[in-house]
Amino acid sequence: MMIVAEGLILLGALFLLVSSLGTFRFRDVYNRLHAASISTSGGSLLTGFGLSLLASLHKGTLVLRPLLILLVVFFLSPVSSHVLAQAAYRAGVPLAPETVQDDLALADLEVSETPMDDDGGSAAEAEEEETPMAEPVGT
Amino acid sequence: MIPVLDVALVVLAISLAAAVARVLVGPTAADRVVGLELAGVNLLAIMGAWSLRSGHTESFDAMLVLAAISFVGTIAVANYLARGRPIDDDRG
Repeated sequence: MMIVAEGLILLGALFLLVSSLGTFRFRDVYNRLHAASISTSGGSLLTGFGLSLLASLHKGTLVLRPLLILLVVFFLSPVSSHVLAQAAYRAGVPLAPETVQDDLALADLEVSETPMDDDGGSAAEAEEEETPMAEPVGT
Repeated sequence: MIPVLDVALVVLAISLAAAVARVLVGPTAADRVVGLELAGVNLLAIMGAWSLRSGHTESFDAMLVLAAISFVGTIAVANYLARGRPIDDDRG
């Protein structure tokens, strides 16, 4: 049982090491957030289970506090990384030069160019319908 | 006493060093915030492993405080980067 707890702690530490190395090596804020967020969830959960199990074995009673604390991290880390990615994009942090597509910029362009359509069609359909109508009004 | 915990502490120390290096060299402020959040989680794991290794389980309370402060700090800095002020209020 002790072996299981120590193995869980070691596996969680290895998850956190992979996460930190990815954050150090990647080339973009958004790639770094991807590395930092996902394996942090796995690492915190595994470390929490391992710490709780080992403390319970040492004390002889059930110790749930480390598991509870790292569960808080498990639930709050995606929230903070999501907010941070949105903030970085709004603050104008540049993407890596290898990026091939920026869907958020395309979505902003479509929303700002086409007015709201009431018939529920997609933005491309609305644009095709709008352009022949708009020319006689403009001229 | 428990050599596996020592190995885990060494691994976590390397991980913390990588996160702090990202804080030091990060070109933008968002990079530094990512590194700080990751360093906070690494510190949580280090504090837990160290408290089990030394037998002082009182530092679990410090772990809880560190988790809460790290989350609130990340949210505040993200709001500051996006909107120019750390806490949103409706006064404009």
